[in-house]
Amino acid sequence: MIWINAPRGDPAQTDPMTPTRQSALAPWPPHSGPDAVFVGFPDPARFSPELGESQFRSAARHSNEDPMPRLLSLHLRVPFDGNTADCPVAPGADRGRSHASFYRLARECELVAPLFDRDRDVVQLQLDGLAGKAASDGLGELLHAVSRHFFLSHASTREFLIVLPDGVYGARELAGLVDLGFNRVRFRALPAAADRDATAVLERSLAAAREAGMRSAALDLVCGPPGSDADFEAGLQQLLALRADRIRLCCPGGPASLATAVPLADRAWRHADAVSALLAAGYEALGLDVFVLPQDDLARARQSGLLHHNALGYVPQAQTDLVGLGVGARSRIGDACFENCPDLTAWESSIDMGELPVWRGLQLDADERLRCDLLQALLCAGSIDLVQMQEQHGIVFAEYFRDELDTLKPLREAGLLHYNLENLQLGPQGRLALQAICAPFAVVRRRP
Amino acid sequence: MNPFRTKPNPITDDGDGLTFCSSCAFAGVCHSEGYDKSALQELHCLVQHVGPYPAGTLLFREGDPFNAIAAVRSGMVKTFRIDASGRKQVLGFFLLGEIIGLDAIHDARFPCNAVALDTVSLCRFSFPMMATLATRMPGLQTQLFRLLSQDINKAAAMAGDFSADERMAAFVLSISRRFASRGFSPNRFALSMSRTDIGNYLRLAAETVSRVVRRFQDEGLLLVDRREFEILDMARLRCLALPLLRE
Repeated sequence: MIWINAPRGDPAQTDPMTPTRQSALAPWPPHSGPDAVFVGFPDPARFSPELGESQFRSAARHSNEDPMPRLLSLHLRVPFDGNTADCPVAPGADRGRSHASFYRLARECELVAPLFDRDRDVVQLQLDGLAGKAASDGLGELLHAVSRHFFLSHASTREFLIVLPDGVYGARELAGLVDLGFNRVRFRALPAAADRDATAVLERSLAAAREAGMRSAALDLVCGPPGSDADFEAGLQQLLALRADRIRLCCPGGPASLATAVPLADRAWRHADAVSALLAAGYEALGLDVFVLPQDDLARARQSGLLHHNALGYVPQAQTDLVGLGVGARSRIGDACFENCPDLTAWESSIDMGELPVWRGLQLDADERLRCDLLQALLCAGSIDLVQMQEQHGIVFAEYFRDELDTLKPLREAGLLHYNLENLQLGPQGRLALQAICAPFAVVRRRP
Repeated sequence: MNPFRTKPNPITDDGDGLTFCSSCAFAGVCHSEGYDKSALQELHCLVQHVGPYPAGTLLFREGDPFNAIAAVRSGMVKTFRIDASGRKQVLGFFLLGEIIGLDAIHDARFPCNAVALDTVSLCRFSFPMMATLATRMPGLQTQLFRLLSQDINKAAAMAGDFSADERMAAFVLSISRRFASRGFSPNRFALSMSRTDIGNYLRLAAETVSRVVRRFQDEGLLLVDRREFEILDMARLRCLALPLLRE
């Protein structure tokens, strides 16, 4: 996800405390706007090509030897021309090569799967990058290959998500995907009232997903398409009436035309309107602009404290090791992070030579491990037991994070988070501002 | 690559001319018996701090001549034997303050291999000199006998017809007690050994180790995150381990 970074020099545009326009909906939750930048941790820009295939292998081996090895998450990135913010088009991809990439992904599975012990079930699987109607037999063969090489969980709480373009797949195709093991689906939508047809298509897609037996259907809502405000709000209400189980708000970052078509201030207003409308419609905020219905597995996992966050987003399960397959996919095994070749040709030739297409990686040090733990606690539990964290990492919280806490002072004064010597907790509206709260902690500073 | 996502393993403070490292197996000998300084000096002459050795270092091999016993100052050590058909058998794990090499005394050769599981520092005691000194220091002799007796008991504990749950509970409990006896937390600790080693030591399949640990966690006995253990219900764990470990 690419977030629009607001120009810092112009507070009138981004400071939510000085509204420039009256919202038709509820009051604006402070610091929830798209100005805060938190893209996840650790930042892949710090990965080094010194960590490659052999480190990947040893990280996998070491993770197998834990007394209770973590279960697995699998990310399959189909290098199609699905040009979304999540999945930018891989350089060199074209439809002619797409079918072959299913076979190469299956081959990558075959190379990677033996590195992990066979009692490590896959409890989360995400397949994205599909555009248009993917050759469904190719998809089927890929999934069969995955299930032959990895042990896929059958539990109903498994998170086997397929990201689809809306309107392309009908109930029959979706039922086929359910047979392949998928139990969750995500579509992408633009809230634009002018386009009633699009909403109707989306409605059909969601209905088809439910009929096919998907356990949850999710939407990515893009805030800030061109069009008038009235259109936007009407479109939003129509989309909310579809009652998708999970909704994620995205600021347009992918298609460049959208990002420039609407001025930043309007996008910020629309984001705020969308948040207010979602809350009014009964959605719960998980953080990072993810909203779920109260009966969804994610909302329940949050209640029971099982919620976790990884590079793929929120998961209602205990922490897993993430294995990424495909062009530019990321893995996280224990304290080691890896990224595959981002270039289609390089990825293809690695696979064809029987090598793991690992491009670069990072071994977390003590500081990064601490930040990971902290961000995990913030994003999921919404509170941090500072006593335990200090004992576990051998730090004094207030001293170690003095600069970060300074940065967060305005947010603390706004009541978005509270902390004392024993714990740090999000305020009632803190989850809406998690982007802003997490951002300072995600910056690694080299200490003397 | 440091494989441990935990605070550094406990390391003991260094001793000086008059005091031993606080975790040392021999630390208690002199305090209780009231030896004079010259005797202490003599005992200290036997001591040689060696290491640190990185994880995976072979500390000694089967058949190496035995001339010193070693106490673990930091880290964990595993001893194992390879049998005639090439199978590996894990004999034991040595935590901080424990003595390696007591089983080598009788024929002056090490009967097994020892490998460092993480970064290990040792404290070597020349055994012939210690034996001579023991004839003059009854306290030292008693301590040596006590250590030998412990070593024999440890080896005997796992032999027997016990269930996987009982073995696993006894293993966790014994580690907890051993940490506690050196003054560290009995409830939270990190284990450096792999599940294959734990399984081999307990005569269980590696996957059984994980299954039992996961069940213990589901039942609220333990909380395990990778290699960190937290004991949540000591009483029930003790109950489970009772057939192997007496109070």
